[in-house]
Amino acid sequence: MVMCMWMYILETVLYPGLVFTLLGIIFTNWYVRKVKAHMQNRIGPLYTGPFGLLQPIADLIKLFSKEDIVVSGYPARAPAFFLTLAMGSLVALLLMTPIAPYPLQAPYDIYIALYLLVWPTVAIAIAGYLTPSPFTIVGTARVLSLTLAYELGFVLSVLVPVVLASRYLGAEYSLYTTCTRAWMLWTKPLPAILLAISLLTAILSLQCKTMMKPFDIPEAETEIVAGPFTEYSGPKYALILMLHDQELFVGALLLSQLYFGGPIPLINNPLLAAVVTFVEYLAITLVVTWIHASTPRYRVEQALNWFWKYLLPLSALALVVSMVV
Amino acid sequence: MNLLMLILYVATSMVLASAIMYVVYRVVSRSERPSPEKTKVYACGEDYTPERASASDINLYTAVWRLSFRNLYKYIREKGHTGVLSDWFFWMYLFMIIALVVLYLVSVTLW
Repeated sequence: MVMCMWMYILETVLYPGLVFTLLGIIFTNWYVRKVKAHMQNRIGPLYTGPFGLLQPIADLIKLFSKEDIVVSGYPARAPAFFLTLAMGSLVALLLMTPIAPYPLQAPYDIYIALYLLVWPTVAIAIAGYLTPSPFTIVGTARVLSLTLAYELGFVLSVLVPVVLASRYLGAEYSLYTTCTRAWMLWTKPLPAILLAISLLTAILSLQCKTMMKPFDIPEAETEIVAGPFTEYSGPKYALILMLHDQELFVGALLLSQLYFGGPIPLINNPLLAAVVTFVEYLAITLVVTWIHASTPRYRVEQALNWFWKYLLPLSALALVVSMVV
Repeated sequence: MNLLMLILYVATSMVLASAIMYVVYRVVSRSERPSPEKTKVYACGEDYTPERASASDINLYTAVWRLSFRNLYKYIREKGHTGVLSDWFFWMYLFMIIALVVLYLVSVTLW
């Protein structure tokens, strides 16, 4: 029991917990900037470390070394508290997936995974609400408005492989068991179509969840400066940037494991399994960055219409079909 | 592992990771307080109170509710935001019960 407890703490702190996630944040930040730069005929981070890999660390050191300015009369510590809590929720989520050496799993734990995924949005909304500015209020209103659209789409999409794996392969609505079995369904025609539809809608919902174009409406710099983050600078802004990259990192890693099994199909060869999982994560992040770098921004009602009229019905249809056939 | 134990483990790791990050944030951040001039609301050189610079929190919900569920929002806001904590808890628990009933119905249907 004591051994189990130590393993559990080590998982939380080291792998796939906090340290692994921090490395993932740094790499994701570098990768997104590099891909985006190349798509825009630029070089991107280059001089700090090999291939500019250490540039995100330099940026974080710069932000953390600045003064922590908070408008007088407003809470100084609450934003950091909620932002770190959201980061903790995403760390906990990775402990429930196959990349964890001793994964946490139970029947019907998918509901807990979905709950953990909502925390970053809640933290960003609270952080925005805790500063006095019309821009932050408008930005936070946009975050909350979009949440009602994309969060539901993301949940419906993610439930499709869970339902399919539970009905066909006895996954018991568990995130871990779904990850270990859902990838086998790509060989069956109808489940493969449903998985493809839900993967598409999940990636587009992730695009909106991470506030990347065309859904960067809450932080539209030409309209509302930086939306919920307008009043933040220094260490708190560093936490916001880290949470943003962590959301993309964990989201891409989660989708790669949910739909393609992550390391599971090649579990007998751990090194190859790790490489394949990494490539799947890179591919999903590449798609998100590609859309981000090549599309203009929607207006808020355009994005809402797009989600309510097209993405939500599509993901709901996929879920209903996966429940009845 | 049963679901209750899983919730305890997940919540503990969430709190543990958050606590470490928060401590790192506090340790790394500069400890000296910024001058009062930097913490005042700046509005193009004019003196503004934070209250004047803020929009109403009712505006948080308008973008989506104005388009679709305005009457429902007004009803819930008036009933739930009375300033009495038990009213707020009642609405939160009501939402949780609705969610649990939906999840139960989905689970039963799928079973």
